[in-house]
Amino acid sequence: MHIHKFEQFWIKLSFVLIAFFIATVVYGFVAMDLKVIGDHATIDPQNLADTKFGNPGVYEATDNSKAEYEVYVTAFQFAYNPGTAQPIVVPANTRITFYVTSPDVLHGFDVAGTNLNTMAIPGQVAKFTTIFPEVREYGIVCNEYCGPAHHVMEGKINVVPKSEFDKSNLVE
Amino acid sequence: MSQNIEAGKIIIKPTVMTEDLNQSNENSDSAKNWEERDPDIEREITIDEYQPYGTLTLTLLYFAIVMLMWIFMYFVEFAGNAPSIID
Amino acid sequence: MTFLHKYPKAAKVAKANFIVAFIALAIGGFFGFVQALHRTDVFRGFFNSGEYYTLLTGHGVLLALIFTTFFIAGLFVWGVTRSLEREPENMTFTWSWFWLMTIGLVMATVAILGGLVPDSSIRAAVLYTFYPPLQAHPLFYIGLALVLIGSWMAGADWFWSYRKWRADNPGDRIPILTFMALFTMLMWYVCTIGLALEVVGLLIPWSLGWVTEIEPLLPRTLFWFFGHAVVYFWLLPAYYVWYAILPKLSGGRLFSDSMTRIVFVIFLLLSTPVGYHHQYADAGISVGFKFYAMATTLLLLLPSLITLFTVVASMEHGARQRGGKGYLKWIGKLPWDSPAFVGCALAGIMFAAGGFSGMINASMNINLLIHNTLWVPGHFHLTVGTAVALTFMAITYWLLPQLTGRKLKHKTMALIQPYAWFLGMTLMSNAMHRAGLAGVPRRTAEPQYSGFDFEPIFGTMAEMNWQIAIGGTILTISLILFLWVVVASWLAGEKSDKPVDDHIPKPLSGVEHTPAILDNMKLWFTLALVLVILAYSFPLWEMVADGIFEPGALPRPS
Repeated sequence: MHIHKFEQFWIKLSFVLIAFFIATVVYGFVAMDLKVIGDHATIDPQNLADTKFGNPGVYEATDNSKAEYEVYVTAFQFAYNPGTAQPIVVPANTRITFYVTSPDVLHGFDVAGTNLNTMAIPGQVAKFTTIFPEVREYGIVCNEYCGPAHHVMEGKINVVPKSEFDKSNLVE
Repeated sequence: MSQNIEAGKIIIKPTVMTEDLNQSNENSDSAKNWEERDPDIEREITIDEYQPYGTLTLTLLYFAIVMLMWIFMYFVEFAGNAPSIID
Repeated sequence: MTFLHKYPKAAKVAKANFIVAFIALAIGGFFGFVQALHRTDVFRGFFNSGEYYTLLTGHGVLLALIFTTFFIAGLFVWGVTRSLEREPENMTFTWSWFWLMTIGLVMATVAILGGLVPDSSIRAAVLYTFYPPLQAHPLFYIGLALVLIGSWMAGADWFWSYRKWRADNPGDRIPILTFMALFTMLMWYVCTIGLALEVVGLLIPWSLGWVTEIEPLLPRTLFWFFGHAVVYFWLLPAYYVWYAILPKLSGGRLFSDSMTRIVFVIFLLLSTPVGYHHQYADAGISVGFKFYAMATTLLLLLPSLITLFTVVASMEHGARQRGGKGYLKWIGKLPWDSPAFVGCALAGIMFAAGGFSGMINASMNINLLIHNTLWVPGHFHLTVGTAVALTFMAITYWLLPQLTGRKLKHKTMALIQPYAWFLGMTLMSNAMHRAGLAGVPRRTAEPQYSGFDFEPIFGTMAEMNWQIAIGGTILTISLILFLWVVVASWLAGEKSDKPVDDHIPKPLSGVEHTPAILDNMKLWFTLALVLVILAYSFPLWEMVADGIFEPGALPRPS
């Protein structure tokens, strides 16, 4: 097989490029805390009422979690609960774990302008942990087609200063 | 078989030498004819004469652009788009 | 004597496939025009926002599934017939697959268009990915299944021709125009296993009401088992044109037959096991499987990077034979006044940009930056929307005369068409990429929200919306030019015994330098199946272990 020396060089360079990409991804994952959703748990989408999703909102975190607060959110046609009727209120600079699922169809849960971006899949619980660095408001966008009113589906996250976070609003 | 070592080609002996006269629609005579027939072609360049410097230039340029764009996208756009999923 | 005169039966089949492809292109393209104006709020008078999703389904299905598949069938009928020098073995069989695919497509399209009829129970506003539990009318799923089965028969038809040719030519190497077609179809057989399991095994019974509940993650995963490789099913025929024909259009010869075959072998092996890179944001699939998919996906960069070198080197060869000199000046000596060349070359340039945004999409964590945002359509309009679609349109200018025996009409319009496509796509796609970075979602009729504003880093939302609307309009004009040239040439082009120079010279480095093992289809196909089993068996097992339809959700109307 004749491979021209220029093309041989280019092939080697291509392997360098591929290795570089894999290395930056691994570095980002491990050293910069830039992670993705993994496998957490399944759930019965027709019986969310029997779970914490039956009473969604911001909870004090359970003891075996590294987070301080947990947010249970359901995404459904065509709103988030909480998020749409009232914003999700969370404190800044605090470890918060979100649990997201859907009782009906696929939805997206994308905090616009951030890397918090996941699918709400009936039957699956999406779990992710984050820290909000700034006091500000964020919009939540449903970015997976979910039916005829998909485009009106939106929500809000209100990040307040840690000192001003009102614990009396937590779900019991 | 070409013994052109200074062109730096790797030569692997093919395991099958085949008669390919009925393979393509031509033999080496009409190979010359094709370059001769096309009025826009000024001269024929054979595999031994051809060094794709232009391709090397373009691909190296592409490599540089992709590397720089990647570093920008990953370490500025992505890493700077906090909050992110940390667990 | 051109193809039509030598192989009239094959020419008829190829033309039939092209007719269907171009009609699908016209309708799907028109829907795209409406979408570009609607979602940017430039004009919402054609349809309402609820109907938008029917249009979007039509746009995706007609362009990404129908236009592509039928054009590819026509292209491969041409290429296999020409290189094996035999008409199809049995015209009844050949016409059967064509009609099966066509009947299937009509069923699916009727289901989709039913969504535009008020109060119709026949609807399929499920988008081209048709994720359950959103449910379409059974006609939609059955129609798609028929198209799928027809495509399997088409592949079988070409393998049949190959086997007959092989019996007459025992020692020969597979001609490159047949090699590339067969390897594309081998890859298609591997990846459509997932689609068949999903559509026939799950969705048709579910849409007919034989089962009520469905677990959404399983069909979605089976779709993406198919869904990444399908983009290579579209791309490899474009590579087919770039490797086999573009060098000659450039005035040169293919740089290397060996590299061409190696590239297609790698695509057969790696196209399917990478499907999880479309599911990085999904719960229910572990990080370990996602990482494995990422690594294999990035390896898939290699055959495309090799293609970049080999195809450009072939073009450079042509330029230099035409008198080109220097490190970059030779580019000017390429035939920029030849419509077929221009379309292929511009398509290739655009693919280089689309390839980069694909590298971002592939890379697990940075994918979350752009997942389901407008960046993703920005990316695929560069790749399938230009690298593939524009190549197909451009090569039509060279193929159609061979199939009709008529010269091309309106050459000036044919020349303007690819430049216009490139301009329109540059405007539309760059704005889509930037809007996606700001978080603007894809697949949405009205990405304007009441509770917050998008904050782009470069530019403004208004300017991006205008670029999408104007770019989309220019693309529509380019499409009209293409259709005009095709119809005029087909009906009224000057008849000729040799309407184009259809000669393809031998490569610079020919098949005699290519190791015979690359032609061993059984070996590579088996290896491809092994890699798929390694990637998918465990995760799929986990999903069905608790019941194929568990945990089940109820169907929702589309």
